[in-house]
Amino acid sequence: MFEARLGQATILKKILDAIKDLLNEGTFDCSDSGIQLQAMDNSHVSLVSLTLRSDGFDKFRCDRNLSMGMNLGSMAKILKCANNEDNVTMKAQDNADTVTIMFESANQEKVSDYEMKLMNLDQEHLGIPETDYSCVVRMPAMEFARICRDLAQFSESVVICCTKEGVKFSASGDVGTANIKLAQTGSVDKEEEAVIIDMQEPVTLTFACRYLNAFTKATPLSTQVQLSMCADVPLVVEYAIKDLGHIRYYLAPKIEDNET
Amino acid sequence: MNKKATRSTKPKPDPDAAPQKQAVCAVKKVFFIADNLLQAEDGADRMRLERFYHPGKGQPAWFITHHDCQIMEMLEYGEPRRSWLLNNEVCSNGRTYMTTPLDATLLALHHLRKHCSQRAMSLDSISVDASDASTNRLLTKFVTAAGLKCVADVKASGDLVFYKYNPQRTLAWLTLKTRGVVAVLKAKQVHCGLGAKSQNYVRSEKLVSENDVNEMDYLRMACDYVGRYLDADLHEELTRYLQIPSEIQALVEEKSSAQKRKSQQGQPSANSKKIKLANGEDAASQLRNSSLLDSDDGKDSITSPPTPAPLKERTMTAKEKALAKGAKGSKSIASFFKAK
Repeated sequence: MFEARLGQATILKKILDAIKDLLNEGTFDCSDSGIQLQAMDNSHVSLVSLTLRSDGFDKFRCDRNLSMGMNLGSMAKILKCANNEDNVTMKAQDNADTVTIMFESANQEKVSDYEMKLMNLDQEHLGIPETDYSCVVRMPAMEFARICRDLAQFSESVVICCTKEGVKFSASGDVGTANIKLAQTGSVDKEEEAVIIDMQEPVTLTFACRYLNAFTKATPLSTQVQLSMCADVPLVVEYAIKDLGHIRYYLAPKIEDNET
Repeated sequence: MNKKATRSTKPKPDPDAAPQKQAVCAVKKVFFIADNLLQAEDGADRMRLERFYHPGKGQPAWFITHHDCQIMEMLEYGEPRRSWLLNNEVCSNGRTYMTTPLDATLLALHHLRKHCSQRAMSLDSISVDASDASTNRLLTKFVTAAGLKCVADVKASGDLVFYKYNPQRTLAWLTLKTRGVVAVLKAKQVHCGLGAKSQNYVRSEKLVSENDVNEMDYLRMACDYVGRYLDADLHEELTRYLQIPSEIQALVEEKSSAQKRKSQQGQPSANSKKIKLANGEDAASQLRNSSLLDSDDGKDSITSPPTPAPLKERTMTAKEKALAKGAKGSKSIASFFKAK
């Protein structure tokens, strides 16, 4: 028997919105430590890794490890039926082929439940090696989303160049070139507005802009985003989900000297 | 084309009847005849209507001869319910007759094949063998030595000339004729492809440049034109010699090649559909036993597991397409992270 209850449906809504553009379906691996989801997008260029810790839930019970393959579009549709303040409970029997999602209004006056068919997804899990990243940039999630959106107008690919002066995002295309430089914030008044650069070695990498934009769908989940980079290694874009876990996007770099 | 529409009357059964003679029972016919031929009519060498054996038709047919050297085929074009109005008279025979010059060698070919395929013969002895007097006239008057040289081996002994039919030479000569017809068909832009096509319907330039009629269609059409004057078996021989596939065969081949392409594209979806039909082992074996499935194709679809393939089959949304486009030039993430 699996049962997980969250105080606010809105968090689950945001999580689904953050991954459903990249993934059509995914497997929620439930264990007593929490829920994990790992999947590559259709083009196998990016990897989404979602971790929700069991202690972040209001109630969490998982008797046996359970893998629930879900159509994420359908899941998002069901979650649209919930009010933001509703409690949400996911339930499944061991070896079940359906999952029940139940919404309860705060005063318990309205209870709705939805049953969704599970899928048998044959997805392999990838081992992500521990990496000592040359550059780790923490910046406001909104700022990152804005930069990705702006640069997408100029080119299909974005060059991220991290030096000790700061981090530079640039794109060049038919319209012209665009450069956005962010320097490390001097005095940190508000942590969520800070740009913090932790650099061992300067790094310059090129990434597909569309994917970065897809990652920024997770912006509502977190005030800050963390970009971890290392030469010839996938970029990690991490959004922390407060008290619950995190969502990490891995994006393979573009091959150098390719047409944009 | 120096032909001019001219009207002349000719009583069909009697070739010697003068056109001017307006007999009461005279049947009026409309002919297209070259002007210069009509002018020569006053002299001794006027046009004559004669019967010769037509190999294409397999029976004697009418020909018009002129000057005892030129032979013209008489073509008849008839439309139902058509009549002519001639000098305030209604001519109920609404057919149009045309004359076209003809290479007499084509007509002689029949006789050569009939008599001279085993041994060399002189033209005179062929005529003797032939039952019809017209053969003699054809071979002695109209057929030229140059023409016969193209289709037969010539052996001369003194004044006597003997001919022996030569199939290789004949086919080569007919091929030349066919190529000539192909050139004319192309020059006149006669549509030779499958189906009908309006001549005056102008398609866009792009489509015109894209040639939908292939060389073989022209060749087939030309071969059929030439074959109309040949014995049926010789026509077949020519078709084989030119390696022209029959129209149906070409159609089937084209269709099958088109289907092959389609099937290559849509193989997974076709297979997934078959899987749905073959629900369970019994249905699968039934399907296998019934010869509905191609042996290799069927086996493949039945034995392949039905699960993951159909999931990937669904069409991509615009967003997914854009994302897939954005993925171009990036390495695969699987090259960094190995499967556990």
